[in-house]
Amino acid sequence: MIAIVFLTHGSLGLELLKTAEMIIGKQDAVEVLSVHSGTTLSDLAERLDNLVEKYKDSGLVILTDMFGGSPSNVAMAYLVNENVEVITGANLPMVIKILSDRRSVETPLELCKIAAETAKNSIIIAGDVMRG
Amino acid sequence: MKKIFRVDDRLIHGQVIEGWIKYYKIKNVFIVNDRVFKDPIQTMIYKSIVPKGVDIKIFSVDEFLKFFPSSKVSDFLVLFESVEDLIKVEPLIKEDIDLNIGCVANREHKYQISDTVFLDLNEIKELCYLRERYPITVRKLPWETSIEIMNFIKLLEEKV
Repeated sequence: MIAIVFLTHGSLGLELLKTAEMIIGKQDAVEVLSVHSGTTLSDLAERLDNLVEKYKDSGLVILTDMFGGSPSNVAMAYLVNENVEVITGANLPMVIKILSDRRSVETPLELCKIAAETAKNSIIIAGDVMRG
Repeated sequence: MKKIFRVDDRLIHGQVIEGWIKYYKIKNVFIVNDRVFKDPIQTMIYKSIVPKGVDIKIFSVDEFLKFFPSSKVSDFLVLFESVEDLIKVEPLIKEDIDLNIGCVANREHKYQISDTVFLDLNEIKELCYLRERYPITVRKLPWETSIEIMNFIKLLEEKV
């Protein structure tokens, strides 16, 4: 099963995970790292080094909140590792999809492609649907 | 046409993209950092994240000292990782350049200057010395109120 690291600004990652767990139940092989105002990025990289090593056999998806933000920038350096993929712009439908499909999908890249599609399709202007 | 030298140990990130680059419609971003300059992966990451229409160049400190005096670019945001690197390019500082201390992460024995800036006594001393000649803002975003670095000079006097 592919492991997931939530790496976001503040407590967004933790809250996304907790909310997803409310809907689809408790999850194994998930880790949460957060970036705060005073966080030193080299400390964060050290923790990510350990997680990439820990999950090198199962594969790892690093899920971040915003492309261009520092969590995402730190994560992108790990793309040189085999079996690591980074997906940005996390939202709740994406998180639920990624947590649900990671048992059946073979590679982190494949999982991210499915999750990205789900996330994009999940953004809906509700009034448009109502008005038809 | 803004000219900014900013110390930010995250270099380009959300505050820089959503704050400084958009607010001042910056078209030229220079990263001045020996580590990123030598690291092709870091170089690729920073080049990939700047908004469309923004030109980004990456220099070592030495290369920047050579490049900058002959540059004709009239609006720019130059990003340094540390106060130490900013001090190295002091000969390039002119009155029309805004100096900004934006983000310096917490390490041990650091004094908190703002919500995102933590400095040691030597960095405070260097900045106060620079501040005697040039305005310096301490703030993470352009629309925030700046903190006056000179207010921290008491820390230096207490330690003497």
